[in-house]
This record gives sequence, structure tokens and C-alpha cells, in this order.
Amino acid sequence: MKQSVASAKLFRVKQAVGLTVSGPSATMRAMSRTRSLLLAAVAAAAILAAACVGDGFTRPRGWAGPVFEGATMHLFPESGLLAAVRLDQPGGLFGIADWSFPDEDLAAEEDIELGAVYGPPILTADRIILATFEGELIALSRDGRFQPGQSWMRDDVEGAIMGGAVLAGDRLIFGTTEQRLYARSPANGGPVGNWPLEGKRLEGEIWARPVVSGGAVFVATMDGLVHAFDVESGEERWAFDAGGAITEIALIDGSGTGFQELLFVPTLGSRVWLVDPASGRAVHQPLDAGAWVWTTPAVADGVAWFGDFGGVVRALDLASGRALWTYDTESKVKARPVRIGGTLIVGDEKGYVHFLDAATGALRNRNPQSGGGLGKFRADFVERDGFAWMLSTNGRLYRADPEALSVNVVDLRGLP
Amino acid sequence: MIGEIINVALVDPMTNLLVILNNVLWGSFGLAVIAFTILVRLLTFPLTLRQLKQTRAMQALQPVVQELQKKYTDPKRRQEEMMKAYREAGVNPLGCLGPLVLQMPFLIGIFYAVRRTLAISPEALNDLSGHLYSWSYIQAAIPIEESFLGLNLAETSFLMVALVGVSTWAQTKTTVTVATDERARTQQQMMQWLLPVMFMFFSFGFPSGVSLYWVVTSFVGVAFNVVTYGFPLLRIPPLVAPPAPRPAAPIPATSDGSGADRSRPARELRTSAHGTRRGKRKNRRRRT
Repeated sequence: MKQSVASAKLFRVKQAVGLTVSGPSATMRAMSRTRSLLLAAVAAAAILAAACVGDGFTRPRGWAGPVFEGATMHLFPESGLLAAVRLDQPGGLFGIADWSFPDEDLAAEEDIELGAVYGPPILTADRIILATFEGELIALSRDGRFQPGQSWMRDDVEGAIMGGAVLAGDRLIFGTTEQRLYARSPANGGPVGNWPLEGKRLEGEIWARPVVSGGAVFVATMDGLVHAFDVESGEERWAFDAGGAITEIALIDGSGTGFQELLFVPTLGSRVWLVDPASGRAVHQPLDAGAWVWTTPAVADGVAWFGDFGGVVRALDLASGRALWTYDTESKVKARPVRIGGTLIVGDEKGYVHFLDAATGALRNRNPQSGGGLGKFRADFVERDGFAWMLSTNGRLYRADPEALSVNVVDLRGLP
Repeated sequence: MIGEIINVALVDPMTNLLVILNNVLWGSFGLAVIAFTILVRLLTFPLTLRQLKQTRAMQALQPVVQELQKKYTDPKRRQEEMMKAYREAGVNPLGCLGPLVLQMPFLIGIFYAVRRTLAISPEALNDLSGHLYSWSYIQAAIPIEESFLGLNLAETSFLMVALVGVSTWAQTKTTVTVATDERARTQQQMMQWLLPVMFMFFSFGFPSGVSLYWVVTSFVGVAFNVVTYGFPLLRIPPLVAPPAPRPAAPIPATSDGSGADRSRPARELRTSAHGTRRGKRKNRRRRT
């Protein structure tokens, strides 16, 4: 009886909303309509899902840190835009853009799409060279212009350039996601002796920016290998297996360890290796961080400071390979910290800047102290004029003062 | 907030499961997607089976429905009687829609999960790190190899778009639907083409890994359909015996003396084979 009443009610409801029509097989029609409505809802949901996902988390935007040259700072205030900014005074909080690239008002640049850049611009005597995520090399004149005759652009590279390029004498060296290591001429982007135009094929994707020392270039791959190649001959000297994907490597001062320099090799396998660049052998057992390590360290006095994706900042004693202290930021740490005097300045993914005692790891201050962060800090921090300069992913430039333990935004003018 | 809930409840488990399957299956993300799809289909199999049974039961009930249509001229009464017949036979006319609805969270989830797992940019890899469980077996598996049988699973592939169309069409072609009037039949026939076109359109924005999921899930659906209904075009009989629906209440004789002819086979709309059958139906109708 109850069911019958329910059926009748259901019928009335359907009739009211137009799902039930008179005539033969009304139930079937109602079903067909419902099915059609459902399919429309399915389609709408799929479109909505696609729209929600969009390119939000996959779209490359770049996160290269600023590069100083005299009073001028080269930085990417937004994805696809390089600018040269002059500060009003050393350490000043006001900067004006001398130029920006590309300038769509200029005929030679209106069709240039710079896209995402993850490595810092390379400044040579007569050019500014950029290696982009799109796999392009772009050389500008020193005044930031793409000028026929002086500038050049090459797109004969397979894959994306993730970490940027490095200059090794007269060779521009970089790796790509298509597992290729290239050496090109900084004069025209063309091939250089002993290095094939199509690059050397390695086993894994190359995300880390190569580093250069002693006539060798060190390149790390996402399959966990570090290779040392002779810059001149292109021949491999050694390879080291770090056992986890490598997204960054750094060559650091090895003073006090018995080595002049050390390779700092962090992995997504949560380990950090210190490797002798001459022999390719590990100096210590690896440090187990317990989370991805995707950064390079600040180094001084035989100590390397770095953070991991678990939010832990460590002071690593290079001589023993052991952590001296740890501090938990409670958010991923991607950006390289800087040490100024006795203060370690660390930025995290939530946009907080932590001022730590470099000797003990004790927190001196955190900025901001309440509310949301300052944006995501992924670009490496840079020390200049006694301050730390930090570019967040929202394109804002900040200056951290290690004495006042404060952070200020730098007012940039003249940008497009 | 809603996004966070979807992430934690749906996308993150899928992402981590895909990474585990990738590890287990020799580092092949393509095999991981295929295994994941089969797992999903197995998990939702009870519902799929219910849908197939409902459809068959509705098929078996069609003679009764047709008689009710003839017998009752009052739409309200007819509707009530039909609902009663469905209820007594244990059939829910809308029950077959459940699995379709259930597929959507998985499709949306895997759309996110594949894009996230196959991190193609530093930002994407950075994002992925926040969605992996802190199990070293998972953490150390990154990065995932995105190539599979010559396809880059992180990018759209025209081959996969075409396969999405073909597989969706094959699934609709082997799906038995029940319709008692021309309008419903026309709608269903339209759906046979509309669905593949719609999903092909969507798949232009899908990474091939998502399309692979859809292709595999569609072909598994085809297999279920063939096992349940057979496939007369290829002379494949149903491998599962048709269910015996609970008998509906007997229909009293009408004033003109016509009773229910329960021996007449149910009208089955196999949307693919419409041309000649529909002609025959029309001819039959004209003759009567």
C-alpha cells in the first residue's frame, strides 16, 4: 500500500516536472528523458572537470631567481618576461626597469614567446643568453633587445630545458628532458667541436642545471646518475649512481673536508650525497632526509644548509656528513636559503620567511608572523649588499634584512 | 574546500595506486592504467551486473508492458499499473543508470590522477610531491616513465582519440536497450552516435593515459555485454542464462477479450542492427 502511494506520488512529481507524458509508454519516455538529462549532466560534469583542472598545476611558469650585475638585477617578474631592474641604491627598496624582454611593440620581438624559464640568465660580455622550457636558446644584446645580427635564437633542441644552461669557457652546456646533453657555441648557438649537434644521449631525462669545474661538466639525470664529461673532448670521465631521481646538483666549497670542492647531490629518493668531483666517489654515506630534496644549499665554514619537501631544514656538517641540527618549517622548502652573518634565511612553499640561528637552528623570527604567506618561494634566494633577495611565484620581489629580521617588498616600476 | 575533499578522497588514492601499479608492473605506466581500469571495473562489477540484469528483466517484461499500454487508456492508471508491474517483477526502470553515474567520479578522478602522476613540468612535479603518501616505495618511484607502446601518455594522441570513438561506439552497439515507442528508439539510436562523438571531443583535451583508461573500460564493457546478451551479428549466444523475472500480477482480460500474450518475445533494441528490424516492425505494425 505504501509502495503504491509512493508510486503515485512519484508519478505526480514526474508529471509536475514534465518527466511523465501522456500517451503510450510514458514510463519509457520518462526513462529516456532522464537518461538524456543524465547524459547531459555527465557531459557537463566532464567539461567542468576539464575546466577545473585546466593547466593549473601542469602549466610551466618558471622560477628562476634574480641575478645581480653591479647595480642591475636581472629577474623574471612574470612568466615569459625578463627585466633588468636598477635599484635606487645598494640594498634599496625601489627599483626601476631599464628594459624588459620581449617587447611586443618592437617588430623584431613581437613574435617571440619566451615562455617559462627555470635557470638564471647567463650574462656574457656581449650577450644575455636564456634557455627556455620550450627548448629554445635565445641570445639578446646586453641592452635586452633581440637585434638581427647581434642576437640569435635556436630551436634545434629536443625536449624541454628544465634547469637552464651553464657556461664552460666557450661552450654553453645544458640538458633536456629528451635525455640529451648539448654543448653549443654562445656566439651563435651552433655546434662546437667534439660535441654532436644533436647532443649526447644519456639514459635519463635531464632536469638539473649542469655544473662546471676543472674542465669537467657534471650532469645529473632523473634516473639517478651523475655523469662527469670532459668539456673539451666530450668524453665521459665517470658516472655515479645516487639511487634516486636528481632534479638539482651543486658544486660546493669543500674547505675543511680534505676536498677542494664537493658535488652536492640531492635526490627525490630522499637522500643527499656528497661526491668527490675528481673521482666520482661518495665522500660519506648518504644523509637520509626522509623526504624529497630538490634544492641546492647555502654553504659556509664547512656547513651546508638546505631544506627538503618535508619542510625540514638541516645544517649538514660536510666533514662528517652528519646533520648538526634540524628545524621544521612545516612546509616544503624548494628555494636555496642564504646565510648572512649568523643568520640563515629560509623561504618555504607557503610563503613564509624563517630567520634561523645558523649555528643552532633556533628560530629568531618568522615573517609574516600571522596570516597568509608572501607567495610561494621556489626561486633560489640571492645574497647581495647584506640582504637576501627573494622572488616569489606571484612575481613579487622581497628583501630580507638579517639584522632587523624583517621582510620588505621591493617596489618595481616601469614594468609592462 | 570541495577541491580538497575530492583530492583527498578520490584523486590522491588513485594517484598513489597508479604509482604502486606502475612499480609492480615493471615501471610501465600504460600497464598500470590498464590494470587500474580492470580493478575499477571489478570493483563496480556488482553494479554493472545489476544493470545488466535489470535490462534483461525489463526486456522480459515488455509483453506485459505492451499489454498494459493497450489495455488502459487513462495515462495515470496506465502509469500506475506499469509501475506496479515493474515493482512486482523487481525491476527499477531507472536502475540501469547507476553504473553510468558511478563511472563519472572514476573518469574525473583518473583525469586528474594521470595528469598529476605524469608530471610534465617542474610545477607539476612539485605539485605531485604533495599528493604522494609518505611511503618510500611510492616516493622513490618518481619520475614515472610516460611512454607506452610508442605513445606519450602525458600528451593527446589522435590514435587514442580515434580509439575512444571506436570503443565507445562498440560499447553502445553491444548494449541492449529496451524501448517501446519510436521516440525512445530514435533517441537511443541517436545516442549510439552521439556518445562516441561526445567522448572523442572530450578526449582531444585528455592526455593519452586518460584515453587509455576510457578505451579499456569501454572494451571491458563490451565484453560484459557480449557475455550477458551475446552478439547475434557474430552469432555469439549469451553465455549467461537470462534471468527469470518474478512474474508480474496477471492482467485481467480486457473488454475486447485480448489478454497478455506472454509467449511473444520481448522487443529488443540492439541499436546497431536497426535498419532491417525496424522496417520489419513497421511492416508488422502496418499489417495489424
